[in-house]
Amino acid sequence: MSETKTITLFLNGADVRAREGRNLVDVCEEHGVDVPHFCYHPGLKVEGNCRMCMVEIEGMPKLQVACNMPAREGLKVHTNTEKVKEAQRAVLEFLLVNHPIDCPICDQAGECYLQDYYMLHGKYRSRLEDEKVHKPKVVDLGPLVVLDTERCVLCSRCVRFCRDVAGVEELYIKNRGDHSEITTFPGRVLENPYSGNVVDICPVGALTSKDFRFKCRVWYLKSTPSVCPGCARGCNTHVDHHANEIQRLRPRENAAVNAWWLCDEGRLGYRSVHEGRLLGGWLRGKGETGAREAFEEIAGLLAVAAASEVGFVASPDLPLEAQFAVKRFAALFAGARVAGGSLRPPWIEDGLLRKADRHPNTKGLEILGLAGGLDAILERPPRLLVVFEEDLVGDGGERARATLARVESLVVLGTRRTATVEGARAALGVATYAELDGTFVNFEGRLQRFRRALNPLGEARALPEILADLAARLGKEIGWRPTPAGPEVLWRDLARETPALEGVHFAEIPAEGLRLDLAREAIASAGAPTEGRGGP
Amino acid sequence: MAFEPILTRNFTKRDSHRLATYEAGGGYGVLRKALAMAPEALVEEVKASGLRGRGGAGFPTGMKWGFLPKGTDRAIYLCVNADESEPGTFKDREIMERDPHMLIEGTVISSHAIRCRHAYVYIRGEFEFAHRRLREALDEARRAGYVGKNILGSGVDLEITIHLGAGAYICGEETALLESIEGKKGQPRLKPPFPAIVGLFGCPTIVNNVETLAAVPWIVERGAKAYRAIGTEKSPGTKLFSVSGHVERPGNYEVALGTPMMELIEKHAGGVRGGRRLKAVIPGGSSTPVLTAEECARVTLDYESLQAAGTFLGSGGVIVMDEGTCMVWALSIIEDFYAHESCGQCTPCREGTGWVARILRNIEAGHGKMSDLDVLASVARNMMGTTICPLSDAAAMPLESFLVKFRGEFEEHVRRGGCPLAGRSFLEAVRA
Repeated sequence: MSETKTITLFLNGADVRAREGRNLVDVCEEHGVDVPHFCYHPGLKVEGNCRMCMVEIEGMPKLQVACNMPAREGLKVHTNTEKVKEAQRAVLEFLLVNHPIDCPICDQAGECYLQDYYMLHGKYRSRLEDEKVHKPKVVDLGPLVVLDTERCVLCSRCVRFCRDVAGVEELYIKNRGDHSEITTFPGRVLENPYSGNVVDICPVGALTSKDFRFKCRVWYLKSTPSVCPGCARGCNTHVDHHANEIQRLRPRENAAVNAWWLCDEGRLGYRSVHEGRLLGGWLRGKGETGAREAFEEIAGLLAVAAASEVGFVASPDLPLEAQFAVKRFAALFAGARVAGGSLRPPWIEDGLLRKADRHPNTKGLEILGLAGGLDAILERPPRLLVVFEEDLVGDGGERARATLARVESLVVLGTRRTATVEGARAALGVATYAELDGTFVNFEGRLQRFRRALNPLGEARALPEILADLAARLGKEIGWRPTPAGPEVLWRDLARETPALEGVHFAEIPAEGLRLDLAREAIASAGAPTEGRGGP
Repeated sequence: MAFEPILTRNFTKRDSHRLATYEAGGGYGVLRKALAMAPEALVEEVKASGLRGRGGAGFPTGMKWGFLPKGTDRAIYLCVNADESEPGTFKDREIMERDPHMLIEGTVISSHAIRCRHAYVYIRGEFEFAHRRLREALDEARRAGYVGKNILGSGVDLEITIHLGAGAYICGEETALLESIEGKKGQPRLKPPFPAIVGLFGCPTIVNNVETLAAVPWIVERGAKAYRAIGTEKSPGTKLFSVSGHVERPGNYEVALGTPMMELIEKHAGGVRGGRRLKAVIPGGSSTPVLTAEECARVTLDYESLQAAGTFLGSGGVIVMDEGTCMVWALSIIEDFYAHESCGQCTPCREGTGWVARILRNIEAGHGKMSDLDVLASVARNMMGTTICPLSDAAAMPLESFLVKFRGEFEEHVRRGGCPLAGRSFLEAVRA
């Protein structure tokens, strides 16, 4: 295919290689050349309306917009000539003619294209002494998004996102000329399940997040790469946090998983890190207690139970490392029953991101051989049932409630204070993905790494750590020391004992994730003797 | 040789819009011959005639047709641009009102030439009367077998759909016109791709002005050579000029291209009204740079002469201004128009047109500063050549020319703190 043909073009005099037909803005960016732009976004249709990405092309009398200029052989592109700079200054001046310049009270300040480009390419004295055009402010577009039409540069990214990516016509630009404004179609609300993305792609402070705005100035935020635990897709995210609290989630680009997007539930999913948590322990009759007290109770129950009377339920919500820890821990009780799964009803699956499977690591259970067996356990529950993370009562309704009521000792180790916790004999708080380094395996078998953004909240600890402690308390050996039970330590055993992970090293998981099926093939072919392969 | 009108030949006939009148004058006579010709031969004939687009840009029509992909199996569309909205221009309207069959015949022949089976006429929303005339004529033509299936037994099919616009100037821009026909907001498309490759409904499309197509039957009937015998070498044929403003007899006049401008104004339009002195003329619709009276005396009405004088033939909308005209006010009206009509897509046009209009209103109202004049000049520069469509240039070009040629008047406004012209001008009356 000609699409994959590589060509050579000249970028400010230097020859660079690029895929033929690739957008010139992207080509420039890949080679470290900044072409300022507002309306262009690699995930959206090209509209070329902001006129900021002007470049000079030898042989063309007029400046051209780079966003509508596919890379082709021999193209001689200049991005920093006086003519280009003048055009950029002019566009910035035009954009600011009617802009309120209210940066001190604007939530976008610090991550605003207008602000940044003004400092880089603008810096002229304002020549507008007239009244500006006034347009609606604080327009409520939908459950997640607020619009300030005066700050808007009318790049139409949000309109194109809704129409072409989310597939719903919710936004459009009404009126003409300098009275143009973004608005919802009559009788419609910006409420598609991906509506929050318009805030991310808005280059200025026009679209802001109801959830995030005025919470924290962006320059205080620290950002940690992570993975959304909301469903089996495993969208890549930035966890933006400050003062050990997540302030917001943003999608992190990964062409193979979520492109540039994140669904609204995933976006707000961070709340579960801070709300409804079980941060210490829980004991029947006492309610919430310190972690130590609950730990002792659980250790005591495990110590006296006959292995054949014990059951463990692992969760597809747990990181791979925690699932492995459960597997190891359960193995210390010869004859105990082990199941893995969930009673949570499936989600709406759409063609974009959301998967029916609402768990980030169902595949993890499968590759560890932990999947299945939940029904059997619920049909004939053991006397001591240790449930990891799953809210069987909350998700399973009356039937599950009735079944679990028959369990003599129900123990939960999980992140949240669920209905199951409240019905348990004892429960202990566990750290969430945001407080850990670890991995999930998504629906297609892609191993993805998330990183620790926060210090563990309250007394919550990583599950492998808790289980190592419990094992030690019971005089058993799980294979790693309780502290630090970082994933590197655990991964040595995990990779060795799990066929799907053979040859995989935790520290070498690439940023875009690792397709385990493909990796295995690659490893197999790399390791295979050369003879016997290939043709005659 | 006496001038023989091409476009207006039926205008003065009684019931000129009726099929019978058109046929009696030889109308549709050439259609049978044209439909029997190979499409390529028709394209060649129009190419050879040197006919240039009459909508404003003056692009050679035959060459435009030649941009269509050869041997495509996709539908090809012809869109007739009847959105005539350039201030000062009203020629297409009169063609449709007085001789709609000339346009229909031209459309049928041109459609055959480009292998179009479905043509659209995009007609300006305000042209209610022209719309009715054209609709009635189309019904007549359809009944007579000039439009529809197997036209005159030739095996050629053509359906014509009339699409009434909703009154946006920008929809006269060919790609905005296509968007509008498709039911979308009328906004120009980013090019490339050009309509000849990806046009209406994603198919190869040609957009031609009413006056352009109206000339086609004559060219096919009398031959390219006969057409070339009229006008100048680079501007063959005749053109309709809409003369408006301070003349005794405003109206549409068909003259051979190359006719001196003053001949049009004095002989045809009866000269400047009330014997007053000519001050300035906008030669080709409000977007073309203005000419001073002295310049007018030197130019002829053809593409090359006007271009040499730094302006354009444009749509042929000749706006005549006499000595009583306030040029600041006149420009202010023009810029108000563009600010109102900018589609708002491209930054320089959206923000520039409004900014310029506000400054001009201020100057006219006596709140101007000398520095405003430099701001206007630089904003005009920044608006030129930087947008998807030429509306931004259309607003910037008159601005630049008014500022250069009548700078003294602008300065006078600033110095006096208001308009120095005591009497209310014609333009003032229009504005009030």
